[in-house]
Amino acid sequence: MHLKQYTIYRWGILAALLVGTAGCFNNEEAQRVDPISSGTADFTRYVAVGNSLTAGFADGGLYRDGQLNSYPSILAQQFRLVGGRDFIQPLFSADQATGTGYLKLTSLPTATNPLPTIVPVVPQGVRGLLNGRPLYTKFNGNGGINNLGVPGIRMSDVQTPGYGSPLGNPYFERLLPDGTPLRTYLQYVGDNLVGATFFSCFMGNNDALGYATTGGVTPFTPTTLFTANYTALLDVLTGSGRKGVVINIPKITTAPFFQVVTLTQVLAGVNAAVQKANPGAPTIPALVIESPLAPGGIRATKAGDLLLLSQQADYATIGSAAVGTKKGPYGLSPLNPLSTASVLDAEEVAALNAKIDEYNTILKAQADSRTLAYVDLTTLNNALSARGGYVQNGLAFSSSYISGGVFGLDGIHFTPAGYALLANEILKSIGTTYKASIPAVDPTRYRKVLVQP
Amino acid sequence: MTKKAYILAGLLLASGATMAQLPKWPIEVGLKGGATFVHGYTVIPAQPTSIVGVQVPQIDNKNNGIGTGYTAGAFVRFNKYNRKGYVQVELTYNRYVLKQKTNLTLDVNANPALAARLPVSFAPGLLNATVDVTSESVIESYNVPVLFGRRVLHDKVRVFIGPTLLFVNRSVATRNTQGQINPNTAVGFGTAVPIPATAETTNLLSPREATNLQVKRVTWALEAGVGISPLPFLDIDLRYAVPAGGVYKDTNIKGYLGIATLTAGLRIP
Repeated sequence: MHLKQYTIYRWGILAALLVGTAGCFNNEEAQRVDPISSGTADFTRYVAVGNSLTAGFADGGLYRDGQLNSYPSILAQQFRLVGGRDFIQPLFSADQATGTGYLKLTSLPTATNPLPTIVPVVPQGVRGLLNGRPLYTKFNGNGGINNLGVPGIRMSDVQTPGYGSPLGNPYFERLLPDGTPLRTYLQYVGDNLVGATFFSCFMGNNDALGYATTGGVTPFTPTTLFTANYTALLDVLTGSGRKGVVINIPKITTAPFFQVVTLTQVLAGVNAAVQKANPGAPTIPALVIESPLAPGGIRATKAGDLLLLSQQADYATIGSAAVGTKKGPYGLSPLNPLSTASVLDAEEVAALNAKIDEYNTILKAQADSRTLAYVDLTTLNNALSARGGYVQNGLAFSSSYISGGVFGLDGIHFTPAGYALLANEILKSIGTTYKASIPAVDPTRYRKVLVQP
Repeated sequence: MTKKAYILAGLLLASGATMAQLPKWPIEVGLKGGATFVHGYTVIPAQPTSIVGVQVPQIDNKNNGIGTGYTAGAFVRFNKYNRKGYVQVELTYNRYVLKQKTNLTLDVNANPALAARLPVSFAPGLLNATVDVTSESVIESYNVPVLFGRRVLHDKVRVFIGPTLLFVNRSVATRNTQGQINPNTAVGFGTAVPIPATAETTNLLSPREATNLQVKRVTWALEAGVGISPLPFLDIDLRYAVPAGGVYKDTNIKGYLGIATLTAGLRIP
């Protein structure tokens, strides 16, 4: 072989190696596929309408960390990926971070204290008292507020003048501009819709929740008023063809507020006390309760009756003749039954669920008639209550109190992780209705009930 | 005497039986392949987290044995420099494996994956974990060494030195972690909870995944070595390189990495 041929032959091998390897360079960026899309919706300015769940209420209070982890805030963070802009929340300042005060968990159960240690946190966001009720630090939302959530608000309140006055709802009062105490919530929503391109509406819970948490004492909002006010609210929200999402009312009796304290536990405690006082006394099989929907209005407890987390002090007096009607042992005698406010009995649970179904039918019809996205929380609610919980990213969330990761210390409102789960459900519905592709958040990266000093 | 010194002495002794390496061609080309051996330690400074009051403490990654990889490619040797000296340019594909281990105690919030596994969250400063971590970091790169060599010991041995450009094609770290969450009776966390062994893989070229451990796409090393030719067409080279241009984008990461390479090269006739 001639020298020239050798040279070509040898350089040819090198060239082949170079060409063969040139296409193999691993480029991560080039492999990225970017499916993010706003679909047919416009998320430039998002406004959230609702109650405590929208405001970021948690652990029995409205405080800065809860607000920062509200589901609208989480949604707005994701909407930024598809053109969303600033999202202003009526936050308590860092100096007043404890806001209205809340409950905090300072210790898990120990060998010497079988119950978790829960203590109140002093509120920093109180500017004064009126008739013994707090007035909270005003929020100056001159630039327009995006999170319009007002804890405690019911559908029946949205057109009530004075609801935001110092004698009304203090959470709404802190949001209204000075000198406008008669402004209704509906008007307040309208004031903050300037430039809004998308909305969420999570209303109606309190119209049923009030009944549930008071053991059936607080009446439901009449359906006609509920319908009228909801129609008026959606008329304002959908003005100019604005798109949005409507979230329905979950069946709330699966929340820890109604599940933590059980009849079995209370009866065991009562029987232990009875046996201690009168060894050999017959076992008490049931409590006696007021049950306005039952024949006669008084009956023995049965399966399906729910005790309330907020009424533990009342349950501690069962058997005492010094409380109630004082005509026998409290909660053990038909002459001195457990107060109806302390029990959501089975008949009331049935009435509650029927009313929630009725309200949800209205919400669904309104959403469908306006071609809005509709979030049915039944699936999430059932998954959280099911054995094994709701598994996300390898971790199980459940409706268990404290350890479930979803519900805060008040047993009703969500933890940041719970709000993240809620935000994902809303994103799913938005994706389906508006053909949007917005990434879900990872709920495992949000905090659960917080143990703190 | 260290293992490297033994290998070097062996090579020099073997050179007595090798052939003088008078080049036959002014330009020689060939193919080569062999094994890479990596050792080293790194000190990663403490890193803040998104949580106020929580940081990932300084991590002292110690050497955990020699990591073995491979190298393969081609070379061109220009012999026109008075036949004693030469310049060799190579194109190789290389896999380097760095084995390390560390032990550290950190706030559970400093490790989001760990914190997520707990049924409740803990405020910073309340709960910490002690973990043992072993890692295998792999870098695969296209290398272009430019080596300046000289034939010594009656032309039986080649010695060479020069820079090497590294174009990193792939880099992943596989970490195995186990340990325990330490008790804190003040908050009712009375007993230590074992952290089961978990493995995770991180793409060290991805800023999102690797964060401060992101590896440079292009860097350079300084390389030196010796070579013999036991057969007319066969080169055996032993070389040692240090990545003088740094491996990580974060220049605050300190440490030392050494790369030894043992190759056999076939000169194409």
